[in-house]
Amino acid sequence: MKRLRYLRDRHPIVLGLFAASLVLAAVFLFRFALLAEYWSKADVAEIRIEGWMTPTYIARVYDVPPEIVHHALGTDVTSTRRKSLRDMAQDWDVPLVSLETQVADTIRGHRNLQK
Amino acid sequence: MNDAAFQLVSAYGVWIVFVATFLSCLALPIPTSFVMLAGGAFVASGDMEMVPTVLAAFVGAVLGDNAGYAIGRNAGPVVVRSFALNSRRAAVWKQAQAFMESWGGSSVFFSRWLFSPLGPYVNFISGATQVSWPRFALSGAAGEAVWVTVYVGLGYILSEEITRIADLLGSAVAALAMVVAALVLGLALWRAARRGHRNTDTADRAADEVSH
Repeated sequence: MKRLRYLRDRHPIVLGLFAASLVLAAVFLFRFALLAEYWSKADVAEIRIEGWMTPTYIARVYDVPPEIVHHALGTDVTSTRRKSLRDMAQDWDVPLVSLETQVADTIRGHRNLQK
Repeated sequence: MNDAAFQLVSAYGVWIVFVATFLSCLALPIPTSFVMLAGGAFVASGDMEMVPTVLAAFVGAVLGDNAGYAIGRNAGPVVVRSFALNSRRAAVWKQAQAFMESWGGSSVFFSRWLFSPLGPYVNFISGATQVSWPRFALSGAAGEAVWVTVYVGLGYILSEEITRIADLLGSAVAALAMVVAALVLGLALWRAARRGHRNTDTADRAADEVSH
């Protein structure tokens, strides 16, 4: 206690940084544990299409031929290289969610045909 | 945060990888690890090329490190002057210099990839404490090579799991960096407390002798 008082009086900045780094370490460890728990329970079969994804990336993640995704979007491979769904939605002035749903439905349909 | 980083990579490709790695080495809060993971994932999907992506990340990081070192080196004399005004701060500065003289190379190397959130500060401190430039540059480039290979490689190999990896890796690296910072600061405090305790005992003994 005496030493802590000495440090508080003589080295307040270092003591504050030490306390802050301990708190932040605990926060990040807790976040890591929560995320690990969340991801361990996540349904791997669930199709989660997000705005940043490109058609070829979606095809890779959901293990379908790229043509299936392009067919869903009405695009071709060369015109959409590295173009995200969000950018396409902006270019075509359509809601992003409708493109996401369209792609997810097409992938589901393709999977059902494969069964 | 992850989504924004991934979106930027899909929009700007290798340029954003270069800019992100460069700026993050100057302590700007940019999610560079996610940018590199996304770069690797887009290489795997055929949206980007491997060699330009790796080169952009590596060159950006090395240039950023050296810019941070140069800032520290130029600002160093000002810091030394301000620290010299206070004896306690001057002692802290001497300790920092001694530490960087002994451990400068490994501090630079490991803070590039294992404790990467500490990297920009190690750049500034290395410059300010006059760590020799060839030593800094070599250790830094070696560390950056590991950082770029690990993150772009993970993004490439596990591209289907990129959201999951980004979430978990981001938290794990941040926690690890904070644990290291707490250990270093804790050690410094423990030494200061021991020194303070010894000085107090000596002063008490001297006071006793005077009173007798």
